[in-house]
Amino acid sequence: MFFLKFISKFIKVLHAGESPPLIAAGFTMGFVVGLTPLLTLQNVLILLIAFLTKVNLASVFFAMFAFGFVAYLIDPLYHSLGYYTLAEIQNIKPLWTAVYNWPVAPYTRFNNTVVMGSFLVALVLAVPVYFGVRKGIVAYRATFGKRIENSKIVKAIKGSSLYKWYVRIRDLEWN
Amino acid sequence: MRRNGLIGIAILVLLVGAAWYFLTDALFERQIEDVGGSVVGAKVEIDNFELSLTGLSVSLDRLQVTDPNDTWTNLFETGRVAFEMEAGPLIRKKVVVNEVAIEDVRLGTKRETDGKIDIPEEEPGWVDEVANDLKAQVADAPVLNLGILKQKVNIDSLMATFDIQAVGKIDSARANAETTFQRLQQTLAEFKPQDDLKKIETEVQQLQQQEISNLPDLLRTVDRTKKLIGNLNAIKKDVEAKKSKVSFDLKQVSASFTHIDDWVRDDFNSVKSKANIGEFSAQNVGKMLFGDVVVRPTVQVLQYVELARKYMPVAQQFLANGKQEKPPRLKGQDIRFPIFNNKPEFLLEKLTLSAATNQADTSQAFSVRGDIAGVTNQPRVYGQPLIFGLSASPAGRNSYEVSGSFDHTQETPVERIRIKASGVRLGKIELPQRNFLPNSLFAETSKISADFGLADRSLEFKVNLTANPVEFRFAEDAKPENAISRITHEVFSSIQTLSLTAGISGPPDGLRLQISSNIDNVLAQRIKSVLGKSVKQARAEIRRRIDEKVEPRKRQALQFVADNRARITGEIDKVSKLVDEQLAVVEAKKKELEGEIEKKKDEGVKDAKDKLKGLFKKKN
Repeated sequence: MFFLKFISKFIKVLHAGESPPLIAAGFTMGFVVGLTPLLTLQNVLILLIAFLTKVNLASVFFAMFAFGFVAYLIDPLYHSLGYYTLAEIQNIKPLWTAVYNWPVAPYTRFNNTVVMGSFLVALVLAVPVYFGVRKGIVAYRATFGKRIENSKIVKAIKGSSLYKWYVRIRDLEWN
Repeated sequence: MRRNGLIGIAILVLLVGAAWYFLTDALFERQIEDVGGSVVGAKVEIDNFELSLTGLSVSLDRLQVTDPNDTWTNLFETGRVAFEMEAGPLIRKKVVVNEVAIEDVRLGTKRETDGKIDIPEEEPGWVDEVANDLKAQVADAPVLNLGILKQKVNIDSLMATFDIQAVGKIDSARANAETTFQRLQQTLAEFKPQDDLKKIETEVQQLQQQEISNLPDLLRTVDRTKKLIGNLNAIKKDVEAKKSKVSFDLKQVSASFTHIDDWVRDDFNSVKSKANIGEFSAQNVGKMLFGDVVVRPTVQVLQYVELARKYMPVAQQFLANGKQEKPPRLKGQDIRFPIFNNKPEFLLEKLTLSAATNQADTSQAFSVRGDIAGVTNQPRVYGQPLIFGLSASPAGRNSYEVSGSFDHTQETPVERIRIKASGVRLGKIELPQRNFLPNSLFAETSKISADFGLADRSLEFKVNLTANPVEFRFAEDAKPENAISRITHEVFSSIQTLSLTAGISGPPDGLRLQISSNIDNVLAQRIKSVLGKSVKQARAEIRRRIDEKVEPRKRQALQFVADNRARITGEIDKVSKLVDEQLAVVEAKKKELEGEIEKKKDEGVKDAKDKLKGLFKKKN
C-alpha cells in the first residue's frame, strides 16, 4: 500500500502540477539513494536536501523504491566495480588511504565495494537521468498523457474491480 | 526552502531522538549480548545498559558471562561497571576507552537460568586437531588391567587376521629397485664409448709407430696427440657423469631398504597393541597418570588463544583485501587501507580488575587482581601487544602470578603466558578414572612454574611442579585385591613428594607430549617385574612369526640389490678403466713428444751458436 501510494502520487504529478525540473530533480535524488545502500552519510544528506528544497518528494520516494529493487539485482556488478576502484587501481590508492583517515569518512562507508560501485554508477547516470526525466515529462504531458488516459487499456483498468478496490483503499488512507 | 520539509525534519529528529532515548540502550544491550554470546558460546547477559551521548559514558549494573562448559554457572559476574569514551575518535567511528576499573568480579557464581544457547557447529580447526592429537597420545598409554598379567594371547588367530605390512613394503621397494636397475641398464646399453675408444686406440698405435724425422713431423704428431687427449677427456667426462648418476640412483635404492627394520618394528607394535600387550615404560606411566591433567588446561588455553586470534586478528588477516567472490547481497566487502594514527576501531587501553571466586567456604575462595592493557580489535593499528599481569591468591596464602602477552601486531601471532607460584596450596586435584590408579591427589605446599608459548601454530609449553606433602587417594571401592592394585596402593602410599615435569612442543602435525614424574620409574619397574609370563612369551612369539615372514623376503631383496649394484657398477667401472688406460698411454706419448721438442730446441740453439762462431772466425 505504501508503495502504491507513491506510484499513485507520482502518476498524478506526471500529469500536471509540479514543474518538470523539480520532478526530475526529485527523481534523480531518489535514483541515487535507491541505487546505493541506504544507511550512508551521503544518502542522509541527499534526503535532507530533498526535504528542505522544493523537489517533488513523491518522485524521490518512487525512484528510491523502484531503484532499490534494481540495486538488488545488479549488486554483483556493484561489488566488482567497487572492488576494482578501491583495490585494483593502484594510482588512486593514496587518495583512498587519505580519505580513509579523514574524520566522518567512515560514516560514508566509501570503502565498501557495493557502496563505492553503486555510488559511481549512480553518479555517472544521475545527469542523463535528470535530463531524460525532465524531457520525458514534458513529452509525456504534451503527447502520451492524454492518449494513455483515453486508451482502452487504461479505461479497462479503471473499470476493473481491482482498480476500484484500490481507489477505495487509497481514499480511505488519504482522506 | 520548504517549510513543511523543515518541520518534517524537525519531527524526524525528535522521533529519532525519542527512539534513541527509549530504545538505544535496549538495542545496544541486545546487540552486545548477542555478539558476546556468539564469542563465548553461551549466554552473556547485561542488566541496565546505559549509553549517554552527552557525557560519552557507558554504564551497566551487572554483566554475567555463562561458562560454556557448565551453563548453570557463570564464568564471572560483575557489579556496576561505568566508563567513558574518548570524544575525538567517535567522529572517526572508533571507540576508545582509556581506563575501566571493574571491582568485585565474582567467579563461578550460580545462575538462575540455564545459559545455554544454540550455536551452529563450526568446522574443526587446528586447535581441535591439536586437542585430538594430544588426547590420542594420552590414550595410547597402556591401560592397567588384570589381563596384562594373565591374559592368554592367541597368536595364531591374531597373526591370521594381521596383514604384515613390512612384506608388502619390501616387495614394493624391490619393485621400485627393479625399475631403477632396468632404467640404469638401458642407460648403460645406450652409452657406447667402446667404438670411439677403439678408434682412439688405433690412432694411438699409429702414433706409437710413427717415425719422426723432422720438426714439421713432430709438430703434426703433437697436434694429433692433443686432439686425442681432448677426445679422451670428453669421453671421460661423459663416463664420470654417468657414474655419478648411477651412484646416486643406487644410493636411493639402498636407502629405501634401510627402513626394513622400522617397518618390522611398526608391525610388531601394531600386533602388540591389537593384543593389548603394550610396553610399560616410565614415560607411559607419566602420561597415564597426569596426561589428562596436563592436556586439558593446555587445550583450554589454546581455545582462548584461538578466540583471541579471531577477534584480535594479525595484520595479515586484517589487511587481507583478496576479493570475496560472492559476498552477501547488498553487503559488499570492506576494503581496508593503512591508518595513520594509532587509534583502532575499538581500544580499551587499560582494564583494572579485581575478582573473587564465589564460594561459601571463604577459606577455599581466592581473589584475582591485576591489569590488562591494549585490548583492541586491530592490534596492528594500535602497534602494541595485549599485556596482562594478574595475581591470584587463595585466602591468606601465597599468590599465583600470571603474566603474559598476546602479540598480534606482526604477521605472525605470538602468545606467551607465564605462571609462577611458590608455597601455594593446590588442594584436591581430580585424576582421570583408571583401573588400579588413584582418582585424586591432595597436595599441600607446591611450587609451580609454567611457561606457555605459541608462535603461529608452533607450541612450546613447559610446566614444573613440586608438591609436598602429597597424598594420593583411591576410589572407595578400589580395594587392593590383586597384584596390580597391591602394587599401585603400595607405590602411591609411599610417595611423599611429587615432582612433575611436563612439556608439549612442536607444530600441530608433530606435537610431542612428554610427562615425567618421580613416580614413573618406581611404578614401571614394579609393574614390569610382575608382568605375566604368557605376555612375555606372546611378545617373543609375535616377533618370531613376523621375522619368519619378513626375513626371507628381506634377504632376497637385499641380495637382489647387491647383485644388481655390483653388475651395474662393474660395467661402468670397466668403461672408466678403459678410458683411463688409453688416456695414460696418450699422456705418456705427449710427454715423450714434449721431450722431443725440447731436444729439437736445444739442437737448434746449438746449431745457431756454431754458425755465429764460424762467422766471427772468418772476419778475424
